[in-house]
Amino acid sequence: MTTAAHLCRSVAPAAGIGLRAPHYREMLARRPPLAFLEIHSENYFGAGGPPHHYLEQLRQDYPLSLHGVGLSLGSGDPLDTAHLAKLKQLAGRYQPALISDHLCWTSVDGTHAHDLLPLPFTRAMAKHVARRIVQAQDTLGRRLLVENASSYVAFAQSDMTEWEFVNEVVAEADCLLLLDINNVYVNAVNHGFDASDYLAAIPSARVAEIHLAGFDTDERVQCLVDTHGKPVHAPVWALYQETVRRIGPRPTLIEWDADIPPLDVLLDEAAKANAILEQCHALAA
Amino acid sequence: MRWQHDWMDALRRPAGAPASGLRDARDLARFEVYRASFEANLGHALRDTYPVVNRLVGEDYFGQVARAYLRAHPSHSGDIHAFGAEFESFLAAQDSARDLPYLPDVARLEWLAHQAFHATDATQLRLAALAELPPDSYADLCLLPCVRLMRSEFPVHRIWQVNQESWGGDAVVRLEEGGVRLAVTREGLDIALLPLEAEAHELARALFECGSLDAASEDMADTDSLGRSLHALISAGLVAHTGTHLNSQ
Repeated sequence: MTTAAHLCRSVAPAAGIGLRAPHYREMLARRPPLAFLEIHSENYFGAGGPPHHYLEQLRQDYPLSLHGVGLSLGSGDPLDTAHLAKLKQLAGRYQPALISDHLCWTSVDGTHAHDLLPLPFTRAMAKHVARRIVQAQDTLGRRLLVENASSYVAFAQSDMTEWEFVNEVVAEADCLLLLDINNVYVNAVNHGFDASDYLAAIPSARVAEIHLAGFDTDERVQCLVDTHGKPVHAPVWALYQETVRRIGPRPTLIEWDADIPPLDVLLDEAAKANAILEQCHALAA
Repeated sequence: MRWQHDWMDALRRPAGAPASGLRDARDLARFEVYRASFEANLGHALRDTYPVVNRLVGEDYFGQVARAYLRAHPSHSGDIHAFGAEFESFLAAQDSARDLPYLPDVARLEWLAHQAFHATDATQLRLAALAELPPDSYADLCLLPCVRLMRSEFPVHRIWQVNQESWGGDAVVRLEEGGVRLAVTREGLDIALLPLEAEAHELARALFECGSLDAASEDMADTDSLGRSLHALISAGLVAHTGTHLNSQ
C-alpha cells in the first residue's frame, strides 16, 4: 500500500510553486503538473477552515514543502517551543517532503517583527544559530532546511563573508540548505560582492531546494529589496543556470507573495525553471 | 543580544536607525527599508483581518491607525494570524470612534469572524439526527467550535454584509434598524452571521462558556425556554455533538 509518507518524502528535482489562497480553487480544478507545492507553515497553524480544506485535497497530488517564517532561528530569545510544537503537529498531519525556515531573526523578548531580519556574520552567531537548528531538528525528528536571507544593511561586527557564515552554520548544525538565488543576487548588489563567488562556495551536497523570486529596487537608498512581487529577473535566471550546471538539478520554487498574479504566470515561471533543469540534465547526460 | 532590542525599538519608532551595530551611514539610511517592511507586513495582516473597517475608514486612515496600533500593541506570536486582537479597544479610543460609533463593534465582529475562519472543523448536528441520539447523550451537545457570539447596539451584521465585495444590493444601512445578537459562524467555507433571538443567544452564550449542554443547562435562568432555544440553535446549524466533533481534527 502506498502511504502518504511514502508518496511525499521526496521531491523530484523540478519546479514547484508557492500555494497561495487566491489560487486554491483553480489549483484544485486544474491540478497542473508540478514537482511540489510550498506553503507558509504559519498560514496553516489554525486548526481547521478553508486553508486545511484545500491543502488536504491538494496534498493528495503534490509533495509538500513547509516553509516557515516564524522560528526566529537567530533570535537571542530561547527557541519558541510552542511554535515548534505547532510546526511538528503540522508536519505530522501533512508529511511534508521538506521543512524549512530562514537564517535570520524575527523576534526578541517575545515581540515579533514578522520580517526576516539580518544577522551579523560572526563565528559566535553561527554557533548560536546552529545550536537552535539542532534543537529544532531534534524536536522535529528530521533535518531542517535553512534559507540564506536577503539583507539591506551590514553589521560592524561581521568578520566573515556571508557564504562563510552560511557554510559554518550548515556544517555545525548538519542541516540542509535552501539556496535562495534571488537573495544571493540581491545581497551581491547591495553589499558589493560577486554572486558567483558566493555560489561557488556553497556546499552542493547540502542544497536540498532552490528558491527563485523577483525583487524591487528602492531608489531612495539604492538598494534591491526582496519583495517576491515580480517575475524572476534575468541575472537571477543566469545565476540559477550557472548553479544548476555546477551542483545538478534541485527542486526549485517559484516564490511570489506580493501582488500575486494569475496562476498561469507562476506556471510560466515554473516552466522556465524546468527548461533550465532539463537543459542541464541533457548536458550532463 | 542587546542589538536585537535596539533593532526592535527602532522598528517601532516612526524614524531613525538602531543606536549601534550598523556599519556605516549607508546602512543607517537603508534601515528605513526594514521599517517600511515591518509596517507593511503588519499593516497588511491587519487589513486582511479587518477588511470592513478598512472600507469604512478608507485606506489612508486605516494605514495611519494600523501604524499607531502596531506600535502600541506589538505582535507576541510567530503566527501573524494572532496579531490584531486588541484592535477593537484601540479603535474605541481613537477620535474616529466619535464619527463612526459602530466601528469598534465592526472590528469585534471581524476578529470573531477571523477566529471562526481558522477554527477546528466539526460536523453540524442536524435536527433529523437529534431524534436518533439517545436522550442521555443530550448532555454532550455543544456549539460548533467555529461559533462565536456577540451583541451590538448597532446593526453590525448589516454593515458587514453590505461591505462584502460580493454584495450587489442596496448599500445603505440605517442605524435605526437597531442592535443585534449574533452568532458568527462558518457555513461550508464561508463566514455566516446569524441573528439570534435573545433566549437562543443566551443559551448559545452558556454553551460557549460551559462547553456542553450538561453544564450550560445548570446556568440557564429559565429552563422552560431551553427546548425552544436548543431547537433554534440546531436549526441554525450551530450545534455539534461532542462525540462527533472530536474525531474530525
